[in-house]
Amino acid sequence: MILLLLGALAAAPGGAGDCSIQLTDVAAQAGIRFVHDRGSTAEHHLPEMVGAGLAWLDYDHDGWMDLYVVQGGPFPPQASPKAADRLYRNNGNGTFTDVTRKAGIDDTAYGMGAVAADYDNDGFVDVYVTNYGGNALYRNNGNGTFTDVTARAGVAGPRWGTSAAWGDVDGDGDLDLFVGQYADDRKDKDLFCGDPATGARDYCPPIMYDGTVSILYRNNGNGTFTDITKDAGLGKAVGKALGILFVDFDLDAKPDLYIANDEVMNFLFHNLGSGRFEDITVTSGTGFGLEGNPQGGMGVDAGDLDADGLPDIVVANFENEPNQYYRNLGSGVFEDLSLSSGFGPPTLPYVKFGINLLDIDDDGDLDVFMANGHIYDRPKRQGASAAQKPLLLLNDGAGRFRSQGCGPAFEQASVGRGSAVADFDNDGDPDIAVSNSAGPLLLLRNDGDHGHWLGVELVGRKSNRQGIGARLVAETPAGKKLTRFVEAGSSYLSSSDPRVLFGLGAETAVKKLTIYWPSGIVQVVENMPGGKYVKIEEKANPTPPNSP
Amino acid sequence: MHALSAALLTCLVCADPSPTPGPLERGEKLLGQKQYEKAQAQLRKAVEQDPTSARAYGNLALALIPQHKNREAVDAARLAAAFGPQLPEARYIFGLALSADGRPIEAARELERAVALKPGQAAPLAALAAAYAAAQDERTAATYETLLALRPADPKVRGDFAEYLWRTEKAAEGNRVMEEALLAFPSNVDLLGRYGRSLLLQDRPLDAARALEKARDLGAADALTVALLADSYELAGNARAARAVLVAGIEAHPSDASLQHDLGRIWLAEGRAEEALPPLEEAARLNPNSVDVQLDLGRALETAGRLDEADAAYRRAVRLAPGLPRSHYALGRLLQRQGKTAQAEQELAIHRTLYERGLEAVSRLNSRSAEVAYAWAELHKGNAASALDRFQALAETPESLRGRALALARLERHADAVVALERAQALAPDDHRIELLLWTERSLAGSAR
Repeated sequence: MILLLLGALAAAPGGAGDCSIQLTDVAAQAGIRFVHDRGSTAEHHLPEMVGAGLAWLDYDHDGWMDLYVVQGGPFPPQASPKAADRLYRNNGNGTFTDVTRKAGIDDTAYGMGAVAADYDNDGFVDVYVTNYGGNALYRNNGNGTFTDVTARAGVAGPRWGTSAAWGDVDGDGDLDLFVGQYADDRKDKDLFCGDPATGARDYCPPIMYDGTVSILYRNNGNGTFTDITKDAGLGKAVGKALGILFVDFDLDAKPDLYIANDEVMNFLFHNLGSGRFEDITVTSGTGFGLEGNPQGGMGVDAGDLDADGLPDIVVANFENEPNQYYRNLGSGVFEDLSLSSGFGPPTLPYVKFGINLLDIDDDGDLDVFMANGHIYDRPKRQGASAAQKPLLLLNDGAGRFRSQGCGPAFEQASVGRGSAVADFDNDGDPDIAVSNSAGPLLLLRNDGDHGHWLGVELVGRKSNRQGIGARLVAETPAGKKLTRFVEAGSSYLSSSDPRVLFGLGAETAVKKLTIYWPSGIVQVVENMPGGKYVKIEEKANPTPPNSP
Repeated sequence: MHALSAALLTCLVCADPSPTPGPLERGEKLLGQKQYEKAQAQLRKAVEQDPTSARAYGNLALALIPQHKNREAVDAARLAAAFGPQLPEARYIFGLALSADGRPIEAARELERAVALKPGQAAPLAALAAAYAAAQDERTAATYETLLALRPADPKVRGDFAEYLWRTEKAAEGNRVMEEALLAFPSNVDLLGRYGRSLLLQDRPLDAARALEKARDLGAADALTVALLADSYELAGNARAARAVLVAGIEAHPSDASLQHDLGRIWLAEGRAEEALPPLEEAARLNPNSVDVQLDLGRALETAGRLDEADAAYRRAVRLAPGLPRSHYALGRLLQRQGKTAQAEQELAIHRTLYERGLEAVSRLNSRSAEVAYAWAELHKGNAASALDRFQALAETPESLRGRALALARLERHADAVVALERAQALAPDDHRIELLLWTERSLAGSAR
């Protein structure tokens, strides 16, 4: 019996048995030698356990995804080279070059997350960085350099920004910004967690801290932003936001807002238009775990997991809490399939942070990647460790999942936090970057036999320039429909490649691609051969919709 | 208790032999046969016959304690001690009665006298150690050590000592004592069971499973051991082993509702509603008043698509515990799924109200405990002044006042410590630690004057 027990623990993430693809960490050989510094102190301040994120962006417009990596640094925060974020330029040959200095990025705050998007519609992707003690907006000058425009834009925010996301909430064609706020840690000085007898401290759980209200900034279209949190109906939403996502759950082309909170109820806000939201958390069934208890929500993502055309929501949760899979039933109601779909049970032993929906093997359905790592240096539960292996859940196409390690990346334990997906080598399959708390960044390259594919990059005209918020429905010659959404900000403290990658499996082309732009324009493109990335501009004269 | 009583009884009989059996002898005989009620009647007659007999009062107390007539036992034992002040047995019985009445500090005082009158006796020493432990007296560990030296071959003493250390959050020391005990008595099922339980509470499910598995192999087949072993496996992430343990346990204890429930719950956690249903239905049949069983049964039924039955189970849960948020949540979500929007919203609104109320309370409680912990940490570090500041900034609770008093005592302000402790005692009259401290501080304050 004991052998049975120990054996089961060792085998937990699933073997590499029947994987057609392999994920391997190639960060060092790619020239990325970033090591996160959490500035751990004997006092165990709350921000030290949060970790950091990263953002994929093509900042130099060369067709290759570059990587912005957020650094923590010493704590209490102090501007020092140790706290500097990094920008790595993709050389297009599998290697990266640190261009931080050349790009004029000088963010030495105690960093949390990053989210990239072209907020000023000038065709160049900008970066918003959340920090403990003041966020920063870096405008892309279009010549390989950035300018810190935080003060002019008015988006520094209050004390402690975490995840952020861009979305055109008021439908005016430019991207607005939502910035999650974590707990109010000012009473940290009066709290002691750990062993009073020895004086050895540990981190206090978030339940001990008061929640805060996250912030919605409206983009004024002139380089400045206005805090419209209260006017938007979000002013009473006191939470402890770690994961932020704009998701158009009712397919009305208006981005709705989901917030994953730590140890308090998550929120789902329905966008009523013109920048107003209503709280539908309770009626939607997306606020709690299966038993009506709040979970330790970390990262969040959305996508069509069961091929019904509607975006479902997934949330990464704390140890002993299954990851949440809220299946979108339409009409603003979600069904919790966390356990019955096989999505949650394999995740129970892990502390999950980063979570990404991606078609890892290009077979046409969305799989799930999770970056895991404990918040405690020495977790209390026997058998748990601070460093944990990542998880991959493979989708059977109907929204049922099984855990499967694919390659050496799934044998390697680390203290995972933010994770973001990009096809950095443009070979048509998704790769993953993972930020580890107090550890080296991982760049997980996806190799092996994957299905056929088609990549789509949107260029908005009436809509925002990157088509953030668009819905794309690809129909294959065999009649399979794949629905994907363009996001800017997801997972945990991170943002992924904004290009949409359709896995086509054995098929080699898309018969019909319908793009539902945030502007309301519906555009149809037909007969697209796979195996390449295609740039599609929003057409001024839309084709009448003929697809649901 | 019974073993100790029997030993004492013999000594009292020996102290005053009687040629013809009267009520005293008859009472003692019945006491030996554990017929406490009848013994009590005879011993009452005995004290009527001789109202100054320490032996009669002592034995009467011994007959009353197992019947939980603790106040009467204390009265009888007090008279035994009064009429036999130099009889160690009388002091011992008085101590036992006081312990049974939940008065460990007074009990300890009597038991100290019993031990002093007749050193080297294990039973009074064991009772004294237990009284010290209950009073959280610093002398507990030393007393157990003495007892261990006296009774090295008694596994129960070692188990009790380990339990005391675990209870006082000295997990490592408790484990050390227990591991030494298990080296000496490797096949002792009771020790293995106790260790397994404690290891589980220490978040060491792998080790707990090892200990409990061994206990089971050695014959511990009770439902509690089975449940704990299954819990250990489940917490260690091995649901398959947990299920196997429960299936075997259910064969041995088919009418144990909690084992059936655990088995169903584990299947449910794995998303296997069809497998979860039979044990959950059986658990509900065996224990229809368990809210947890009804909720899990409802969830399994809902997952299996048997919505009307799920509705009924959730409604039973709501009826059983109307103040439990998750019952309303489960019912509300189901109603919503069935399109009964108005009813659903009503249930979900109740859930949210209860949730928010609970959240606020939990948050406040947690945060306050961390503030108190900070003050204690300062005190342990020797920063009495800083600790005092922190304790004084907290709302007055028995714990903050006790901490305040300890900080004041460290600063040699014993009179102020007494004031704090008197306020603490008013708030928590049954807190033995406060009572003990108050004694000490009063005496130190008196000496200082």
